[in-house]
Amino acid sequence: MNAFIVASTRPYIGKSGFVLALLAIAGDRGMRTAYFKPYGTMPATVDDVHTDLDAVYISRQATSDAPLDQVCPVVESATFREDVIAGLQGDARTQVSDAFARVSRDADLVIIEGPSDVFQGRSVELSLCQVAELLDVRVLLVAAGERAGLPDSVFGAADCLGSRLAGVLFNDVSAAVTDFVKAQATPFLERRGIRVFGSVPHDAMLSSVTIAEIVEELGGTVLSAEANVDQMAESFMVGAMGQDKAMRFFRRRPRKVVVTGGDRSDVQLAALETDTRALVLTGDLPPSAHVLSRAEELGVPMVLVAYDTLSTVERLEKMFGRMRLHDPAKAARIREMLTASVDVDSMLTALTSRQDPE
Amino acid sequence: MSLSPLLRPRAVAVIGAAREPGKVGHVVLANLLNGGFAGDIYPVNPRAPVILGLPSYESVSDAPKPVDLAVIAVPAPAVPDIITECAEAAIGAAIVISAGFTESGPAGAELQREVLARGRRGGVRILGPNCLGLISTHEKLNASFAGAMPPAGGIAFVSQSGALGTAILDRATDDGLGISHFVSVGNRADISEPDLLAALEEDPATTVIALYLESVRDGQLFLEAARSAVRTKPVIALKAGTSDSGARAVSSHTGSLAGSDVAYEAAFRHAGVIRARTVQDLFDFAAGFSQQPVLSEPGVAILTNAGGPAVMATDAADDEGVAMASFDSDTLARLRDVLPDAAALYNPVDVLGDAGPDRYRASLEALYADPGVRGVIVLLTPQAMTDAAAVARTVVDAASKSPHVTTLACFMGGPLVHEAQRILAAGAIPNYPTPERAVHTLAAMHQYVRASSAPALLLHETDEARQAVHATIKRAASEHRVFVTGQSAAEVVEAYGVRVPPGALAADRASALDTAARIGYPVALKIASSQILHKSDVGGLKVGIETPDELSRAYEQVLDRARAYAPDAVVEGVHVQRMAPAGRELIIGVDRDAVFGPLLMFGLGGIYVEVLRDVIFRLCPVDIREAERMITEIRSFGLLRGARGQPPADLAAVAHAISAVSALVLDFPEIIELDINPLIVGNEGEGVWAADVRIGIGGT
Repeated sequence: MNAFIVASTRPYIGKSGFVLALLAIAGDRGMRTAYFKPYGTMPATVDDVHTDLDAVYISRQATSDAPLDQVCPVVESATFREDVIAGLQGDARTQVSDAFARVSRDADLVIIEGPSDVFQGRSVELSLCQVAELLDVRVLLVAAGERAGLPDSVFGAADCLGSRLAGVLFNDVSAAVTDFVKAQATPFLERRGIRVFGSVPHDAMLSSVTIAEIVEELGGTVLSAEANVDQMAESFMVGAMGQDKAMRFFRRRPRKVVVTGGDRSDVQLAALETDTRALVLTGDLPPSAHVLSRAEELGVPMVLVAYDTLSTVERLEKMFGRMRLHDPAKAARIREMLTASVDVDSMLTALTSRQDPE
Repeated sequence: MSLSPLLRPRAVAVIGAAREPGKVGHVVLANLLNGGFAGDIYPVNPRAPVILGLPSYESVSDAPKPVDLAVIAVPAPAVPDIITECAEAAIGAAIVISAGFTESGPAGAELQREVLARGRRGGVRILGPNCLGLISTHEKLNASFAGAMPPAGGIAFVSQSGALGTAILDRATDDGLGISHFVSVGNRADISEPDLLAALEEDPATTVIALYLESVRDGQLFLEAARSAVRTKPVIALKAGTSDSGARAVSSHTGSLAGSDVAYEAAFRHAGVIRARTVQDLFDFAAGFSQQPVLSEPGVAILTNAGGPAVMATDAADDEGVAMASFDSDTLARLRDVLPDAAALYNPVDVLGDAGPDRYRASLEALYADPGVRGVIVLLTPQAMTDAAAVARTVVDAASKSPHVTTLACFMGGPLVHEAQRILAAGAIPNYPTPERAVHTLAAMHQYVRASSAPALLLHETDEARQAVHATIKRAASEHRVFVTGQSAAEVVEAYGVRVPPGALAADRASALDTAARIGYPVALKIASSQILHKSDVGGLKVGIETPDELSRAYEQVLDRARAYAPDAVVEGVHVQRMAPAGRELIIGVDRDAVFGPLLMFGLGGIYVEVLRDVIFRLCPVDIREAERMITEIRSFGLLRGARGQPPADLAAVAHAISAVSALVLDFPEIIELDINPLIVGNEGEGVWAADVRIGIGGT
């Protein structure tokens, strides 16, 4: 049995996506795969089991049928936090090692989803370094491809992981910083003894959400072009300016959702003239019939919501800031991008090679 | 397809004609009958054998003779089938008065698309739906549910507001203004302004086309039709929805974007359309253009019996750029002969408060005889000795003998001049209640004459230049950039012949120093990040760097400031550029208007653009001549021409740069915004430098 951890230097940079992609690749190669998440931070109750939301979804993509409470043995719920603070929590480490033994029993490869930064889980002795040591596995560290700042968190992880850090994978690298990441950051890390597996480019499709998801999140009513709610939007903009400025502003962003008041026909029409996937009309103000007709004609859903613009924006910010993976098309896209940018075989070899054979 | 079945039908069917007074189908039929239409009229209504004394038909195909025009007043859902029946009966045009289409929501919009599709398939042109209808006075055709027929004349009025139309027709009757056609366009499913402009251009009964517009659908079609119409007759437009709030009202009223007001201003100018700012302007201009010859050359004389109004008229002429005539010696001699010693002989001519009709006549005849006098404003105030009606009759008579001169009247006052005003109206001398309005109308005439366009002098770039720009834009698009990099932007304008100081993108300090050494000091350093649009706002710009040491310090400052002020921005490095030589700072900008396409801005640049807003706009293409005109029109033109011993700027190079930018944005619709700020212009012969260029392609 082989196992390794996929961890990241900060949240929302694509860790879960790579776990999914690697599970799929291993599965295609005939391996029996299992997914393990020692420490969950998205509490949810599924089939009466207290577990982690992402763990539920991702574990279904593995071949293992280990029970959910074993796939994610420790979940940071409100009561868990209270218990930890009150000193009532039992030995989380033992829970984790027992569950891992159970999950890995029938698997050729266990992919462990680590914490979203170097420190998460430290209060219960389940930080990245502690888990890696506990389970005796190596680590793939996913880092953001950006220019600002030095890679301190990579070195921080390397300090305590030592040789367990198999290497770093840069993700979400935009075109503007590709040269920097490849020509400067990568050699810099490698000179300091940290292997870099590669860099995966930014892809707008991955951070997009469907209009249906937005409708659901905002509890909205679709007034036009209902057939197009499965379209994806990559970002959102707020329209609160005059129509002259609105056009210039809206043209700068393709495949977007525009949030504006139902009474702002001018902004709505300007948005419809540009690449807009949906209009979210706030304040429960229905649009003019003319504009509604135009939206229907262009196939752009208009979504009426009761929230004011500020609350709508807060909710949308949460949606667009995070990659939602519960979509087979996205998982396939991640896999495609990963295999195009990284030598997956040599990465897997590095992740599963052991200092001391079993 | 021609609009003559609409404008000049031989027989008309009213589909949905009704017996009950008050129903639209009844009013329309009654209006047709009362208007005195000479052709056949066929009511269509399967449930009534006779309506208003005419036999009614079950279907339009039962009409005994061919029908050209159908007026439809049945509920919206029945309209598509009616259009099919019209097509089968070979009817060329239909006016759909019925409401319940796009203006009522998606279901109505679907119905409207169906109506249009059936009309297209069957060769039926459609006016409306949701319109007031059409009046053609010369045909005695009142196919509308508006009230009485206005007097026949030369003004065609096309309105996006049917309701405003009724008010204007009523007022036209009051003012004795003759109308040729009144067209309410409604939802503009098929027939819209460009079609009507083309038809009215050809219409011999129409001498002036007046438009009430809230929005234009297809800017290019409108411009082409308007420009063509303007070559044969004046086109006056009243555009509503110029403020932000007004624009919003337009959006919900018509379902179209109002478009930016500067773009309409530029579009009207481009096409030679005269813009009326108010309903009053619309009337004033329509009266002047329809009743008098257009003032074709400078030279206006003012004839008055009162000093004050004449001074006001002179001030207004000066403000509006309407040139006053200088009289030749024969004219002065004749005036001296016929006027008292106290009279003022030079322009304005003051015939004094006690003047009777004879003094007005003699003076007018002298002025009409002067070849330098192209227009006359006759002023009158009702003083003790004044016989206003007699003077009015004299003016009408004298003017009729000199039909080549534009004659406008300004008989000021109330009841004392009412009769005179009626005489002037009957004699086709437009009367304006104030001198300023008379002058304003002459200024509109000037504008119309200027609009007769000279052949364009456009720049044509080589294929090589085009290919270079194409490659750059394609690369930026493939990298999902919203703005091309600073370096690429520089290369793009350079390919079109606008000089840019040498420079390069540097990813680190060492290459920044290398670049500076290569291109030579002094240099400017700019943060390179597509997310930082206003570099100087975040301290991302350092200019006048003279040495490598200064460059190192500037490099550090620029990157640190950018990181502090825009921590999320993706920074690609710095752009090192040779400083342009000192000069006067200008700006060229392009924005793409939703209706009319690329809108070019030119003005004083640098830090002044925000403060002084000394900029003007034109629609592209801007040829070299138009560019030269733009340069002279900014308020700061004096600074460019050279003031107080300063040598003149290289205006030819500026004009070239403006028209090069125009050619660039027309060649590449992908460019949705472009700014050269500052464009530094040297003294005559030294050329221009585009010191900073920003090009937005909108992301893909």
